[in-house]
Amino acid sequence: MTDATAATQAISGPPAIEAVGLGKRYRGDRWALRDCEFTVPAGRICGVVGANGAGKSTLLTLAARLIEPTEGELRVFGEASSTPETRARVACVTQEKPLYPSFTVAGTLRMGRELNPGWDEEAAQRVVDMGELRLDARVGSLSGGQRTRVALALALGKRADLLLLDEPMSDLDPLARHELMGVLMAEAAERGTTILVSSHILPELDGVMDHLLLVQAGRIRLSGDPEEILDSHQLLTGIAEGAELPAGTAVERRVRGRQVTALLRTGEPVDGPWESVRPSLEELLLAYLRTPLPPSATATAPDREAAA
Amino acid sequence: MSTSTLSGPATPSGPAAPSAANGVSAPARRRRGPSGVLWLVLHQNRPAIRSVAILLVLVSAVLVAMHVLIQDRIGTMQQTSCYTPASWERIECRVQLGRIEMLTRMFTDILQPAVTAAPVLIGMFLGGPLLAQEYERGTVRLVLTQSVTPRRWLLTRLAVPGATVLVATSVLSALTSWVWWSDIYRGPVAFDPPFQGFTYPVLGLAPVAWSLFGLALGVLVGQLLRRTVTAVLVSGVVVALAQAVMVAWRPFFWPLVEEEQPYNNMMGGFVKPAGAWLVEDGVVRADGTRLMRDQCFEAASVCDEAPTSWGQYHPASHFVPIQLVEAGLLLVLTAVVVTVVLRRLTRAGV
Repeated sequence: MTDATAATQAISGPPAIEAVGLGKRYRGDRWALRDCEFTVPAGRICGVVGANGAGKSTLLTLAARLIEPTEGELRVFGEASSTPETRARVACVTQEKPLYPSFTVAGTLRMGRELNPGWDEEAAQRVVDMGELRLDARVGSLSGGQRTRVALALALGKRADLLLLDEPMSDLDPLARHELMGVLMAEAAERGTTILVSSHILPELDGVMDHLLLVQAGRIRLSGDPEEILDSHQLLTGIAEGAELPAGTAVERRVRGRQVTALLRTGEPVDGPWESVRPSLEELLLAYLRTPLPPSATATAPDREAAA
Repeated sequence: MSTSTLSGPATPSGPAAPSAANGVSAPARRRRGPSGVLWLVLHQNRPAIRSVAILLVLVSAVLVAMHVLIQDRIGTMQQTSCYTPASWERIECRVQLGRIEMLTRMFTDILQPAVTAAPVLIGMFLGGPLLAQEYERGTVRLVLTQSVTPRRWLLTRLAVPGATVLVATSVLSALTSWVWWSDIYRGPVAFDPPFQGFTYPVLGLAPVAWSLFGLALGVLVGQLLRRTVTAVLVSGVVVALAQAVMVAWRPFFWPLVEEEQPYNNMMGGFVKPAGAWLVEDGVVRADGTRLMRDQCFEAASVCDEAPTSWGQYHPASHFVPIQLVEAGLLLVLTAVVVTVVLRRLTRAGV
């Protein structure tokens, strides 16, 4: 992991994504994202994790330049707004995976070739072939999973430097999920593509991502290398009686009978009548997702925690 | 079976195959025919273009047949000396006249209203769904995440149906104008002045300019509503309303001719020249005050005693300038609507 980090840091040029005071308000005064500050270096596979409605899709849609931020900036490869060059460098599969239903699979791939100068027919064809899709089948007649495959083929064929995937695997069977994840990882490894993938299925991203963005109620709660984030947390399991937890660092604390479980923001094991271990990614994410920040704390918390 | 044996756009085939065999690789994969966004838009519009073409061929055939039949009957009438109105009291002439009347009525009562409705139908079925469907299905997001700019995509997306409508309505208008001029207006029976409600919109530039404007208006409605079915219905209403508003404005597109005549009770007031459009008329009383026609109904005796009648009208010679002004106005409005649609696409987000 340190090698990979060193390698990506060696790549010169701007980060793939950089948010500065980013906020997006939809009609009706609802802030989908607010005060977001984070950086995703180029070449990372970044998991965007959060509950439904946390703002993951808004973040990806902003990065795809399909909507404009209400305040602040979301820089993609250093550019604050869309340019013809970044347009060609960013590919996106939105959650609904829209495709023209009257087009055939072949026609859809042809569209990809006609609209993208750097089109890679082989890359797109490979994804379609793995699903044993008929090229003359109408997209409208395909199942949800098959359509997802075509949408992913279209995004991969674009040969983008940044791939934005919003819940890409949600309607795929486990086999196809595993196989397409493999394709994406190979793509990232071969070409150094930055991948931003959102998911609420936590195991889908474990061991795959090397950057984590935890979005909660429109704020970025955690941002960084997941290994480093895990290194700076301790999961405590033990008997509750008598012992005081160190104050101020608890992310979450649950008492079940005499048993207490707590996630602390500290790199050092904590002495006491409990077992203190480095949490797993799933334990860490669940602990954060279970404890929403109080409204008053959200304004300042992202900066502090995002630095973790 | 390897994938390369599958035909279709996925693998180099057809015109590109020979050059590929010669060892020329990537650049040789270019195919003949449209490429880029134009390919996409043509591919999407194929059914619409085909429907418009079929309709156009059918309506053109009807119009040409109408012209041939009317001319044939006029020839027969002239041979049997039934052409002049004086002869129409003879029963055999009345029969021949009836046949022509049926054809002209088909033109004035069926074809003219249908062509007048064409801009409304174009707004509904070509304009309304054009963007509404892209938004409803989310495909606008699909297109805008490809490498093409929103501006280029939208302009191409509008240009293809726009050109289809332009060509189709130009042919249609040329034919209706020709049949109207040669067989109806100058025909033996029909009195169909050019400014009439269903006549004006089928002649000259009117069908072309109105259809383009209807298309653009439908596109804007579709972009605002983002629902196909609603967009179809609302577009129809909006274009029809625009037509109604324009009818109210039309008299003022060119200066009216004003005239006074000795008041002739027998003729029922002001007598306009043949083919003219009488916009306003009334009487001038002995003391020089003018009364509108409506005011005569309130006090008929006052008007009966008036020595002079007056009228404001457009003679038939104003037809071309009025059409030019209206078409110019419509083209400007079309450009404005397209600009608004483009701005909304690039600024409002999708």
